[in-house]
Amino acid sequence: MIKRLHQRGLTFKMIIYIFTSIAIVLCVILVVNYKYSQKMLRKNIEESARNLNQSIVNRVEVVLTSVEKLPRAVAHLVEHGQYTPERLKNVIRLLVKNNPEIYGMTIAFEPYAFDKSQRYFAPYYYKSGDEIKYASLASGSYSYLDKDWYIIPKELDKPHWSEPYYDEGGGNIIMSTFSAPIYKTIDGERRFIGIITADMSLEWLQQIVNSIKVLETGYGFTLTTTGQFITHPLPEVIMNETIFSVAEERGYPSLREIGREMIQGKSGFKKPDYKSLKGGQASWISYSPIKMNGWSLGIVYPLDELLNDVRHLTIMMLLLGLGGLIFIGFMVALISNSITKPLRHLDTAAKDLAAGKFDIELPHIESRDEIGRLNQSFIAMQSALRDTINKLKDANEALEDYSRNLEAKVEQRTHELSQKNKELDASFKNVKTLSDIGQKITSTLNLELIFNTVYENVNTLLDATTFLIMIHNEKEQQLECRLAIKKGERLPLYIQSMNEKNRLAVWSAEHREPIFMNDVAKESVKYVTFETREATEETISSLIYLPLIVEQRLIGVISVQSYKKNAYTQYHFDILQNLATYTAIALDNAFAYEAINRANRELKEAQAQLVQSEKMASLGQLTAGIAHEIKNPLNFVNNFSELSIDLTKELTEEIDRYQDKFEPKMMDYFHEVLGDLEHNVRKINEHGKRADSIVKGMLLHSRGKPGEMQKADINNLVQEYLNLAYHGFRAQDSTFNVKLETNYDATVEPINIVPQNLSRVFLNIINNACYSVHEKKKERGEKFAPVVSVTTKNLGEKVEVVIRDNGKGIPQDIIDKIFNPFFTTKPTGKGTGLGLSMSYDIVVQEHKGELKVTSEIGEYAEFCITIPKNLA
Amino acid sequence: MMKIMIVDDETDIEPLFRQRFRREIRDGLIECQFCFSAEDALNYLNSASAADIVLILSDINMPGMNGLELLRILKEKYSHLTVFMVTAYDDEEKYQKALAYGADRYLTKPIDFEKLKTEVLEFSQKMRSHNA
Repeated sequence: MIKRLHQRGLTFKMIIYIFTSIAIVLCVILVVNYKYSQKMLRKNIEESARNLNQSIVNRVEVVLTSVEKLPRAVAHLVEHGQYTPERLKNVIRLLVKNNPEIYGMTIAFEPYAFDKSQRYFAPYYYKSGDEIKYASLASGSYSYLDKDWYIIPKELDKPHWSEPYYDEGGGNIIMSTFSAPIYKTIDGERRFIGIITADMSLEWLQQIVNSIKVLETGYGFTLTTTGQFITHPLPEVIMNETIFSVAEERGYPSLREIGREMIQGKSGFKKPDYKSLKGGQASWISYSPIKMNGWSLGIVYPLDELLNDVRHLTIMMLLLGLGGLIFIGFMVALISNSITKPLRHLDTAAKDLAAGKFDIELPHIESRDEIGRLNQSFIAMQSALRDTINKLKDANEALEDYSRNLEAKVEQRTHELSQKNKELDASFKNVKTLSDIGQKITSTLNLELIFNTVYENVNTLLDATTFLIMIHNEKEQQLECRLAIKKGERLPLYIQSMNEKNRLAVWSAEHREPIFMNDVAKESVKYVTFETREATEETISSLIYLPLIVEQRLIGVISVQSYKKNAYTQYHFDILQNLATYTAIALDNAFAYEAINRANRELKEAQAQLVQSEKMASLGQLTAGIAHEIKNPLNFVNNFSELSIDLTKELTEEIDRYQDKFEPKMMDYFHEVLGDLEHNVRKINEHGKRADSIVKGMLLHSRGKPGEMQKADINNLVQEYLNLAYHGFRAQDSTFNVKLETNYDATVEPINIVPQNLSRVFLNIINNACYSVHEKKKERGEKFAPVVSVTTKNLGEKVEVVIRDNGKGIPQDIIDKIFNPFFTTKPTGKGTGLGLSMSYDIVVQEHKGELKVTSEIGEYAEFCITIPKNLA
Repeated sequence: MMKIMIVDDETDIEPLFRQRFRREIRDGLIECQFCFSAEDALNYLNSASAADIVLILSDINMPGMNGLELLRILKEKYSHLTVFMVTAYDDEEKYQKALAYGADRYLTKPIDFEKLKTEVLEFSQKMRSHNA
């Protein structure tokens, strides 16, 4: 199709393209217009349908209300007035007579409820033609007590509209009965005494609903609470069918859905898959409830009729569009024909030119548009072609001469080429070897392995009497010669500072440029000032230095050196340059690997420390809670025990006063028991106090609020608490003695710390040190000289405090536990096991420092505290 | 004679106080009223028999209304009363709060009865000289 289109004329193409685009645009406009109109229409219809429904429902409810009013009025009369049966009957009869919409009325009472002399009283008045007739429902076999119209309002305790029914007289009138209960207040209690009803013909309902006219075939209908049709334009469905039976028979599930919503008392507007019973068209249904009796009103809108106008408009637009399209087609044909006509002339002329007729007359075109210009160009081309053809003929002759000489030249060139090819082959082999070596070098992260591989390969490829690999240490500003080989022997490591400008290695590293010399004695002056030494057999005469660079970072320098002059060619230089590149990468990788390993190790250490800190913190919170809870019972233990001591004493005194009344044996017994009792209570008090001091320690430990940071002199603080601990110990045990050694670094300036907390750390650790040396002294006796030493040191960013004793030392298996809360090695009652745990928290968590311990059993224990200076 | 009210959820506080202050109670120097919750204490203060209470010792940590809340209400509604807080919690936050609410003393458990007795007797002395 497309191919065929290509072969067609310009006119045809233009008509097709323009025609198709306009047709598409037209179609889109039509579709959008149709859809939009439909949407607008639906919105409008929905709005007016709601209004129509409401107004009909209002009309129906007005009638229903007017009927309801009468029985309600009678019920009210009976409840509040005194009526004789005759008078009551008269009221009912008059009401039936004077109200045209009422067909009949009954008033029926509970047995003996109205007239004490009659069991049943139920007069019924109804219209028959123009007369009002009377019947007593209380007579004969008819018992109204269990009739629906009586029992339903009685049980529901509220007025009720009955389902519609056909009039019993055999007529075709549909009726509905309104029943309302009657009450009377007897003995102060409001009791049900009977029912008043009014029968109503539903003809008026049919009239109202049938009067609804929507377009040609639209109509209204009414449903009871069960979905039965009461009014409908088709008489055969009235009282015979329900909306559900219709939905079932004709297979309209959505009609069933609408029926369900209608009998539930909802209102709505829906388009069902429904063909209206009358007219058989697709329709919309609008519905709303008659709230008074639960019936529902529906109005059917035939869809086709609604959409008629929209369709008319669309068809008209379509016709107009088609007319326009035909007109455009005609115009396009006209324009394109005016363009193509001169083109066809040119076409014929071009064909003639191609056939070699350069002298034909070309058509003359007057117009100055594109076609006119094309024609002029064509004329110019014609003359140019004529000239060119002539020149070509001359050139062709010259070419034939030249080709005869060419063959000889080709032979010569072929020979040269095969030569070059051989050379290329050799160098390819070199490249291959180099790349293999490179792979080998870069395949390891082990420094030694890299060095060895590089050396071995360099040695086989070129003269490497001396071979060096130097690593650049940026921090220290020096070159570290990690690999130095001289005549196959490995030399020890040595270092050149980057400041030694007279060194070739330093020059190469600093300038990041290679050095390549084949006569060192002469050429080296270009780089450095050398003292010229007398040449011996072992003087370096040729050398290459290459900087090792990766991503513009200087890794180091590689060098080969020889005693011979002119030992290296450009080829050697290139090879070494190649190897240097690989070496640099391999070294860089190896260093990076080392750095990663180091970082990993540090990370693991930090993690372990973090876990420890976290454990401590949660334990602290827990202990604070427990400690407070324990304090309450302890309060009783301590106070009651103290009281009991007093009471025991009092009792003892009292007994002593009356001792002449007891036998001496008895007195001894009393004293013994009371003595024991007092002793026991004292013990309880003592241990209670001990528990109290433990709890106090725990609370100090877990004090939630951090202390205040302030500038303090660590040296002073340590000295102060060293004295305090020493004198404290002396006060407890006069046999205690220790040599105190202090070594304070005077450059330690005041730093930010929490003095009261940190002092507790010093006190704890010094106390432990004193305890340890004292215990050792007790074991070893005179020959042991106890020493506790304190050293402070300024470490720049940090301050270090070392407290060391030459006491019993700490076994390795215990060192791991000494910072755990409640861990102590002191005898029961001497230590709470909280001192070091608390110290750890203070140093590590509060001061972000470190607390480390080292020890050798039986020799020494050393606690090293480091505090950073820049704490906020 | 001075009437003291003691508020604490621990019922054992009653025999403890009665024994500790036995002599003072016997000599008619002081009389004690015990309430085992802050709510009880407020109820009692509303009754007629509460008129002669001058000093209240209250715990802080109690189920229901706590002692600090009680203290706040007491100082608002019965500003003539002197209130000592007695608690196992000696943390700074509670102490500051008690002071802010107007506590007259802040004592910590375990109760040091010697100290408490001195405080109470001093207070009673002051009351008497004030009344005289």
